[in-house]
Amino acid sequence: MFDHLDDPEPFYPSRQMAEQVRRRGRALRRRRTAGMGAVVALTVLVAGSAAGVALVDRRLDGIQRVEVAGLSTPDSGAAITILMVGTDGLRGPSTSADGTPPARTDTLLLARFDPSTDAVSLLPVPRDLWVEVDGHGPNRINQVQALGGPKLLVDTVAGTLGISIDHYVETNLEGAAAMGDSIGGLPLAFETPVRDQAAGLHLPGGCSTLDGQELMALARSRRLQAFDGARWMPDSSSDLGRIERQQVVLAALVARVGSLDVSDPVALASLLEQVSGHLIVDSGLDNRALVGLARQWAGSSTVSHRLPVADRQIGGASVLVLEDGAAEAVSRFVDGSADRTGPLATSDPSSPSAVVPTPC
Amino acid sequence: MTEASASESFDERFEHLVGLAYRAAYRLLGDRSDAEDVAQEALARTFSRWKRIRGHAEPWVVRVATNLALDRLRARTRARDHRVVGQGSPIDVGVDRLELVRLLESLPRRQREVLVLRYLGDRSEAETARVLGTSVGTVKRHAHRGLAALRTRWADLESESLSFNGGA
Repeated sequence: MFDHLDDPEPFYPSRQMAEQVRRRGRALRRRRTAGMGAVVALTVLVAGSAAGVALVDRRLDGIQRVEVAGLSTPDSGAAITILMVGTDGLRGPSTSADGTPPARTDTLLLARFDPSTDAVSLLPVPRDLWVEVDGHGPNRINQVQALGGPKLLVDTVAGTLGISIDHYVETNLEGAAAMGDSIGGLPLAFETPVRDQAAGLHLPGGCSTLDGQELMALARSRRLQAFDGARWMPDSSSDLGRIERQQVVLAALVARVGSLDVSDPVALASLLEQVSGHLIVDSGLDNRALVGLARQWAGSSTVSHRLPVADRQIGGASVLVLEDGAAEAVSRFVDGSADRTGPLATSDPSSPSAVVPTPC
Repeated sequence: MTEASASESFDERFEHLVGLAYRAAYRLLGDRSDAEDVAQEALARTFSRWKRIRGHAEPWVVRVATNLALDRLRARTRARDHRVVGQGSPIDVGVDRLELVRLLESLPRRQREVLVLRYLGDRSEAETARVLGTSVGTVKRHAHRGLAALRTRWADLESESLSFNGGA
């Protein structure tokens, strides 16, 4: 059909090319980390260990299931899109029936699993994104869950970005923090001392081991400051810097969990129980499917995408709005293309003023 | 499977797979060295995941090469303001490529996947159906619609370019 577009000269790969392919392939394999919701990743360890499916099922009993209307049902074998929500668990789970005010949405991450390419694409949604909310008028996306629970959040994200969402997974930051303590803390390095007085966080420059509370404060931090030798300078990247920090923390958490000795089934089981108590998923996602997704995530490289957004002042509030190119970014996310980590990537540089740690 | 035997199997199939990647990339890019770059990167990614994908390596390589080529084109057009890509006469070969790319990017995902596998990757209907998890009938239907869309745009563009050139 398109033979007329072919190279008239035949193509023979050089030996050098074959060598370079292997070298780069090995580098990609080494670089691969599974950055994701640490809570879900933990189930991979149990599934992969000798403990087996029965243990997984029993230990995952703590997972709360909710009906989320408005989710779509993909064909089996087709790619699926999951909305992952990290809440500030201070005020109780988002679906509590006893009148406790719902939690605030802290992190929103869309994850797309394509079984035919083994690729996992990630698209973070900034919590300050200004959106139109059905029945409530315009608002920040992190308020939507409080207004109408998971269903309204799913509808709003799906409607704003023009995608369909198949599953919903929610965890509160306490769950992530609990894990931090269970694995003996997480070593992260900042270039300079950092603090967030509002979040109660103070960390020295260089490498230090953060405990659960510090991890939680870092993930939440909105007023991070870095000490430049003379003054405390604010991280002006605000929400975008925060998203990057969260992803670094989650990736490091999973990497550390992945390197733990999982031969002690008792310790592992209690860890899993702890974690599953903080997990809420939609009723269409059974334990087997959940474990399958976690396995796929841990075994793939993730492709990070980004929504182009701009700062805007609306009614005195500092929010973010989608820019031109958002539709294109979403469609790249859905297609699983545009890898920002490869040499052919066309990504924008990350926010230059963001204060982001590295694992150490 | 041991590391050694996994690598051997990749070696055996390397030449065939790199040829597939190169052809798909060249059809979109029309440039030898660009297509080679894409083929190299596509094969490196294939190698890094070899154990998991060797059961469906051909369609996987085609899709990765296509996506990388399209990324590269997007970067190119951003940098150079829509200059026609590809060698050969800008009106016949160049237009075909540009239109092909535009079409691919505008199609619904399913139709695009079918066109990429069938016509950039020269996969059979049966293999395409298997890889995408649909029936051969569906593959035929998507291919038909996608090609019809392509022909319509070609016809439109041809008549535009003819009138622009003061022809016929």
